[in-house]
Amino acid sequence: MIKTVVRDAPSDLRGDSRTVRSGLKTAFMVSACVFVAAAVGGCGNATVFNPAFVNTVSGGIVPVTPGPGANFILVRVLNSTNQVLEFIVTIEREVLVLDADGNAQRDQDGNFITNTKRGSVRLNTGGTGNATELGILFPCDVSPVTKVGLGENLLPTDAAVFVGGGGAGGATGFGVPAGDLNPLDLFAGNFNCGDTIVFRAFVQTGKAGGIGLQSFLLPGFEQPSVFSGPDTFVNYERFLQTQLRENE
Amino acid sequence: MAIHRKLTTVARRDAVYLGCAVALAAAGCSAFNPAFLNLIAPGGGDAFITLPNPPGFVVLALVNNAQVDESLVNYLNQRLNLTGPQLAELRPRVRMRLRITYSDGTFQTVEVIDGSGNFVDPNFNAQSLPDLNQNDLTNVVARCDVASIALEPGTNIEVFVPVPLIGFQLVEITTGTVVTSEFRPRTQILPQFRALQIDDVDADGNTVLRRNIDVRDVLSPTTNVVCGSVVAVVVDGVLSVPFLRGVPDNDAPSFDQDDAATVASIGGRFEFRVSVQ
Repeated sequence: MIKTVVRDAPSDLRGDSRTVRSGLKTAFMVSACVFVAAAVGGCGNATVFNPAFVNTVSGGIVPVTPGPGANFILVRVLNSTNQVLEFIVTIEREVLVLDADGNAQRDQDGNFITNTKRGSVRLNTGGTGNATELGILFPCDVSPVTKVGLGENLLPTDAAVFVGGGGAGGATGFGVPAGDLNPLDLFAGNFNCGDTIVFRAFVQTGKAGGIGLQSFLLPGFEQPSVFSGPDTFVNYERFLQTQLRENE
Repeated sequence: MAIHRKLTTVARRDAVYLGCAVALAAAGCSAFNPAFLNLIAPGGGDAFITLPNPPGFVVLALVNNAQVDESLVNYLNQRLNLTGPQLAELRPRVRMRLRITYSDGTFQTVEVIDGSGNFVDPNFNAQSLPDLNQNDLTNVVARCDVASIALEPGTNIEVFVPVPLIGFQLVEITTGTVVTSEFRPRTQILPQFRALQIDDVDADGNTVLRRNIDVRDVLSPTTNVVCGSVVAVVVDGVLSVPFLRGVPDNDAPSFDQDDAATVASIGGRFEFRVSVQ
């Protein structure tokens, strides 16, 4: 849009740098006004911009993190390597110890007894486009998630990602260790229930497999509380509650 | 005059520092060589990196509401001795591969799996089947914009049959002039994931052979998914295996291998519906 205004400037004004600058400034301001008006003025119902784009810029259309409305931790994996990548996402959670009747057991002081349980999932990402990203939700209300990291045992030597595999059920490719990407710890204040954790793989020379790894945090309390579009994670939590059977 | 000039110099220097600080904040430190940043503050070069906000997400969920047939539970629980709460939580282990296609033409294949992984005949070495011990994957979160979600082409929805099945055949035995019929074991199907089959129908849509899924209950694709939606694949039905009656000394799951209807029904009866919120 800005380029068009400059190119179409009247010929008698060419050479007058001040006028061209002024036109450029006007075009920029008009563009900015349109953009701000579209983004801030409830563009969710408008057809000018893609709501996904507006949500990226200003938010408020759909949530990008579960909290504070829904009790999940969203773990996203982001592949910036242009290769097919499989992330090994592992969590630890505290699970109540139940007796034969299904009642939670307590210690002598009346505290609930819990066991630490670890589980891994494999998330496949493509090399290009939107397929470079995938996520998973872990409920964190009853059994709090205490650690989130990459690699099956959350050790630096564990394969955190597999590069160049065949996707779900296919060949796994070669593994890249987690290295200095430490798991995030709830008790260390690294994350809270409702947050989004992002693991990103990118090309980095000098690293094993030529792949570097990073982790990011998007706190749940930082996003708007009202959305003009579907409230994704709250809807999902409510839907799961409606699916519970009587004996649960 | 000299004092004023000195003050101006100080102000100019501060302005330069302020400008640097603003530039640092705006650029997220990516303007500097990471090696340089690591030199002045080891690891600090990575501390300021940020990612752009995501556009929003679509949640794809597998909800397993299927049950296990009572006769199968009774048979297997003689060996497993499950408690009441454990029995209440029993679910058939179901898995399927789903393709998420994005509006930019790229796609991902995810294998969702849910159900009881420990409900299996203890005589069977469950360790030999890693898929049974695989952790559940009941949801994935896809980035907007999602064009369609469908079963991966060329794949089936599978359910784990947790007991071995004995295939019998009715044979005629002639002893002198007396001809008797009795079932003889011929085949054995070990515990394994079994692909669920859709009923056979004729040209008019009438069911000819009842298998595992009615033609109206197949998993339908979902297209043009609105950003922020929850797409749930809900599985209902019952996992069941046949028990052939009339065979002496056999109470194990078994079937007449010449009985096409019984063979077709192995695995039970299921239905799939897609709920978009």
